Amino acid sequence: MKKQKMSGDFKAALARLRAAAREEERDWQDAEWRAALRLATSGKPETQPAKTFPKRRLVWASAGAGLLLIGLAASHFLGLRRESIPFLAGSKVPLAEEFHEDQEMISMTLISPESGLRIYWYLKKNFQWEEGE
Amino acid sequence: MDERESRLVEEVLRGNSEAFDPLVTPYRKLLLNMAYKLSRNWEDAKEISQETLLRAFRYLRSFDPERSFKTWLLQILMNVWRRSLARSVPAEKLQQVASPISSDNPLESRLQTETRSQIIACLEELSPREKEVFLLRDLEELNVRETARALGISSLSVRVRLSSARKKIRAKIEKDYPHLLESRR
Repeated sequence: MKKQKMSGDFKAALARLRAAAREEERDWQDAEWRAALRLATSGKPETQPAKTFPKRRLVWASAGAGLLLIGLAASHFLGLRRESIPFLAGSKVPLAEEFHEDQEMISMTLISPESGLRIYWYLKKNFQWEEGE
Repeated sequence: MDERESRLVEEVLRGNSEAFDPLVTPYRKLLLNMAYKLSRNWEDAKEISQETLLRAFRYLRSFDPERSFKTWLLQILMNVWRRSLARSVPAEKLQQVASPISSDNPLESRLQTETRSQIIACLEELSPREKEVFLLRDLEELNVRETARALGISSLSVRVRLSSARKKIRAKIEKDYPHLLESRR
């Protein structure tokens, strides 16, 4: 009962705030409005709809793709076998190494759709680290 | 969107920029006052409204005719305001609204100033996101769906932010302006 009364009181308070906010409302002077419209319409509407590229999705997609590639590369280099991965033990999904048994090198190209930047990754199966003299 | 607006949008997109005037004029007061409620400064409000009009005209092609034109305009305005907020936080400008306004009746003038101060004080309790929701839903009386569309958020987010905003406003009113809660007799 008390809560209902509070709610009613609050509604009334909101209505008073709303009324007060309306009281202080103003309108454009006609000359200002005309000038604002002139400025707004001085250009032309874009011929294509505005680009609303989902940047956050791109970041997540890139991160996901990156992790997947790292996982594939790791499984390739570490020589993981299906039997050694519990959740893949009975599955038919091929591991990276099983796609091309005799492949010596994997290359990947990441292309940024915004800047066109290309990043090439080469993962060599028999890579040996050699330090120069 | 009503047929009249739909026809005007088509005309503008066909190259008749004169049709933009009757398309947006019904919302001229709404734009200016919503921008003012957000920025609490008439000069900023005009700039925000101007930028809104500019963007509305430029990106009219991306407007979905299935949606409300008013909500679309408010969505642009909110985005413009968010950008302006990121650029600067003119704290000193908030003082301007508490300054006395001219009126022939001193008592009326004082009451108006007090009411303005109360509105400002209440809105200042809110975060920018809560303020947006509160202004659209409780002051402009848009429904939850329209508010969500104007802000580009889900209806659930509107409800959560609104609940939080109302709690803060209620606490402020109970603490500093209890007379607003008193029933009118």
